[in-house]
Amino acid sequence: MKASDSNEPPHGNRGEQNDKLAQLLAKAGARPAPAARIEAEVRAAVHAEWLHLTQGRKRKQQQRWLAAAAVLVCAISAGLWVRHPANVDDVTASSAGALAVVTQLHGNAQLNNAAIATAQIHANDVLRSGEDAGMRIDLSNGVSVRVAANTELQWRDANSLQLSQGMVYVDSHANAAPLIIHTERGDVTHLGTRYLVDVKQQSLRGQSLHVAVREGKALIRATGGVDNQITIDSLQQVNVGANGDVARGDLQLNDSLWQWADALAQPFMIENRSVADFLQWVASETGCELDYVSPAVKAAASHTVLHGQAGTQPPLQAMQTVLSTTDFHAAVSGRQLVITQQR
Amino acid sequence: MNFEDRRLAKRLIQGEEAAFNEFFNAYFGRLYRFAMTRMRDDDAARDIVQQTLCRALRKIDTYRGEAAMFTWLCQICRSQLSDHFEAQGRYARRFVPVEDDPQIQAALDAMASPDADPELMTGRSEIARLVQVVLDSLPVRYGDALEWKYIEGLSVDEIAQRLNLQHGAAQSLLQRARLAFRDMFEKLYGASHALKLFQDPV
Repeated sequence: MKASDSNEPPHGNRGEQNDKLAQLLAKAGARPAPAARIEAEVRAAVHAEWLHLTQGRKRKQQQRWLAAAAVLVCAISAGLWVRHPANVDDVTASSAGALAVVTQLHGNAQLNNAAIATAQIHANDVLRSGEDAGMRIDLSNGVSVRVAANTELQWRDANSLQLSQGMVYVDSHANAAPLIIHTERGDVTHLGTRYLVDVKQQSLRGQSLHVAVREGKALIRATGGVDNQITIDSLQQVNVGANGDVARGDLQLNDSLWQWADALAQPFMIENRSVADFLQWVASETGCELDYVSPAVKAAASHTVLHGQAGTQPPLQAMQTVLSTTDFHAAVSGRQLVITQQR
Repeated sequence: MNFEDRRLAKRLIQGEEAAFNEFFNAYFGRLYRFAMTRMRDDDAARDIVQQTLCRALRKIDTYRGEAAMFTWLCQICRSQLSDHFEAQGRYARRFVPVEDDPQIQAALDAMASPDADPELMTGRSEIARLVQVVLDSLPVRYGDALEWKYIEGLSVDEIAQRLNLQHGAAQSLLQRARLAFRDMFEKLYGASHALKLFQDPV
């Protein structure tokens, strides 16, 4: 290691002292750095906490502004009423921009107590899905939220929602904006992932919270203990009972738990697309990693062009249907989607 | 008054992503080493540091900049460590303040590992640890600059580039860092020992 610098010649006693200091530091060596795994875990957890706090502060600030604005509007309204009692409607609030759009809907659902087909969602809107219903909602920030049947939630802002009842599945790419799901048992946030949050009422004991992670990581800040953070890794699930008990378990990538959410995936149009493109869609929708058994199989998949329609089947089912018309075969093994070719 | 640290706290409150990265990159490693002197267990130290940083962020609006940010974080970390040991049903290690200066106190805490006797601070590894504790106790840029220069062997220009400074400013910073290091080292080790070391490095 070089520790001297031609730009900084030692001079006199100070130079000598600097040399001694250099020797002392060099012999002491670099400060030990924490393991990268530990640093990444702590960074993710602390970042999630910071985001939560920041959003809370912003909400409070907005509430203060709204309160101030309301007072101002009341004052102006009162003034207008005094001067022009017939023109009270002149004072109207402008509508805010949409946070998200319902892009796919099965069955019946309501937005603010009115039936919807497709709709824009704004802050504070309440969404309820009926029995056998399901919908996919795409946020402007790139996160997609799929809502199961019998679910009720309220959008707070572009980065958070309150889940009162039922299940949602979040699909966010690595660089997507954060989304916090507030529930009675705690707040759930993601670290670039696909995961499911399920809130169930357990009679009089309150609600339970179930979080299952398909890809990436999620974090629960459980209610009742400020330091009670639970990190959930890929293919793991955690249940926080109504009494606060925490139970962990493992999952499969193709677990039946994901089926309802897969049914709400954006369909893939296969006409004139390669097998490789199609398999890439399956992998990205399900959180699998594609594993071609050889470069030759990968090349063949890139050159094989599909025709027809796959319909609206969930990705894994669509894969079985489509591949049955080709000489390719796929099998799920852990996180891998292993692709082989029959000759 | 630590104006730079106070500005960082304000930026954290405002939700600036770059401020979070600056905060985490500056203090995670140092706090982790601080906790490791007490825990000797990677996962337990990780939990303590995570709790410390989360707690600090929750009360960041109470940070006024009277003490350096790292000193403030060490105070929170000490409290987390006490809670941890008490919850474990173990002897609650007491952090008896022996120094009025909180910065010195934080550094002394960092050195006081469970099985180390300060009187026996004579071995080379203990001196090395003392040097590392002093580097951690200095303002972030001072510690980093000294480590880059004298341990990694970077030139002043390379350090200037890393710190986004002009050559002259980096040179001045290094000079201030050396003075701060000597000052802190002498305070911790005792002027006579420190002088001897500077005359005859280990």
